Amino acid sequence: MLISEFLRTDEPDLKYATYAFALLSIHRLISVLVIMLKIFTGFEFLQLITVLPIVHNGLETTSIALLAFAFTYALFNHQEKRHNKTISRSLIAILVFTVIAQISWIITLYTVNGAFRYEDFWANICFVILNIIIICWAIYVWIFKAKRNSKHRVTIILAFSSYLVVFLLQLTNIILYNSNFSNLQVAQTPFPGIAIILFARVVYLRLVDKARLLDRLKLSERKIIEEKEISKMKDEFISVASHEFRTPLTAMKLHTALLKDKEYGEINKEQQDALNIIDEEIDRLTKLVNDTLDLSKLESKKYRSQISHTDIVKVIRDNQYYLMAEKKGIKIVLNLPEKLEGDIDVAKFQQLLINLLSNAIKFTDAGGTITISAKDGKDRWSFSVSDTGRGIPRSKIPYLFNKFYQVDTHMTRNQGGTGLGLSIVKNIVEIHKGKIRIQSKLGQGTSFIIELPKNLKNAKN
Amino acid sequence: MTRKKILIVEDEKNIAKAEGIILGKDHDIHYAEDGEIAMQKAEEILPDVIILDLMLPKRGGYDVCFSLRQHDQLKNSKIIMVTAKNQPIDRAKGMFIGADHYITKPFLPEELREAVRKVLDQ
Repeated sequence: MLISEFLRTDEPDLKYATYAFALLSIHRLISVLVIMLKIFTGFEFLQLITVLPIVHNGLETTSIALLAFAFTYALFNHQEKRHNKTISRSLIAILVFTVIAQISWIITLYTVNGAFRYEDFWANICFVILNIIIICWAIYVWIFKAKRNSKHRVTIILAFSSYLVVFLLQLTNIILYNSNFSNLQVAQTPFPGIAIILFARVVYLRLVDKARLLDRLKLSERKIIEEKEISKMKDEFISVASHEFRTPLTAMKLHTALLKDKEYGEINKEQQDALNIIDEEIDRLTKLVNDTLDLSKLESKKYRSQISHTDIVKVIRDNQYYLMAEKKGIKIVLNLPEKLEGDIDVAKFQQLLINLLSNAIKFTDAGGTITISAKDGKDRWSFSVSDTGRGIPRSKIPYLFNKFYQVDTHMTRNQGGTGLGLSIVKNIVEIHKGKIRIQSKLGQGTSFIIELPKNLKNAKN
Repeated sequence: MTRKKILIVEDEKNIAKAEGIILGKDHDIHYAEDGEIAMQKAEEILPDVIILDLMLPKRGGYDVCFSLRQHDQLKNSKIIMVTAKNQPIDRAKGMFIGADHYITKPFLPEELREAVRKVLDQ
């Protein structure tokens, strides 16, 4: 499993782990082969004794070192270059030590008379101690340098500890029993296996995680492509709808006007009235189309607001819609500071103001007052449109911003309302990254209060 | 005001007819229902004013406008662009490409007459 992943990956720690497992396998294989040869053929591979330092200790310590580096690699994320240097230096040191041990062993074999046990050889003991040091270092790093909730922390510490038991038992055997206590040797047996299984589990889980991540990535890439397609279709629709809806409306409006102007001959009063009705309905449909397309454009993520640093007081004063209030006999009061500047999309803001005013006028009787106030703040500014109209029942307030929602459908339809005005207002507030809320009391009036940040250029996407 | 030659470039027959009635009292009207015919007729009659719809089959309105402006004899004809798009940027685009005026659909007969009056006075 590791080899197949090894051939695909370029992650260093997986590579080290593969080398470690490979070397350990070779190490075990050789030991097993030698023992089996002895058991089944009585043949003792005596020549092997001469290369014991390399074959037995060198292989083992190198694999332990590689294991330690492989399974602590992730903890040295930020010091990769230095850590890689440490690894190569350590491996070279082990190699050099092995060579020295090998040479020393050959010399010992030639100079010492009689049987000399490898277990008593100084280098053997050193290798055992070296293994212990390496594993203790790995455990230390995982206990003290890893975050509490690092993945697989416990498994890896257990794995290293398992291997540690092996070498501690060996050391105990050497020091206390002069390498004679065979029970201690047998006791070692399960631990390397346990350790390897635990390490293998970690690698397996990592590979599974990686596969899952890749799957999720592919899924989200597909989703993004789909969303782009939908967005593109929506934009095309808006562009086509713009033309397709307005063309018949234009034709109807023109011929109605020509009829009224008597370009098609004389008309009587009843016919005149009918034409007026048709004209009104055409206007209503036009407004509906405009509002819907506006809302669509605002909602489509491609809408690019034209935000500029503006004199807000001037923008509020310049609004033309106040005339409509005065026509109905409603008083307009402007409660504005002397100076107020901020980042707004002027055209959209005017539209917002007109929509709020239009609502206020609709629901306020002649003699009433509409107050527009603005207040400057440090990072934000606020403004409100308040009327002394009939108010909105509390139960209906949460739905006000919904598309096509009208509190009093009969009345608003008659006055040319589309139910989209407040949706558009909400969208415009959102483009400006602001907040809007409503306060209303039945019979007393309604206020729309909006808070906007002054500085938008930095926050713009 | 003298009678001028007006070329109406519009693929919607009903709108073209209405425009013709609106301006027909005061001027001589000619019609073209797509971009290619528009160029042909323009070269033939050399109109004083061209009412140019932007959404046209065969050659788009912007294209026709551009070609008219390149043409030696036609660069002095006044072009009034008519379109359903009403964003400031579309208006700016129209002016940039060489239109003399820009009206958006739907419009009233008086708006069209006013536009023609305006460009003829320029």
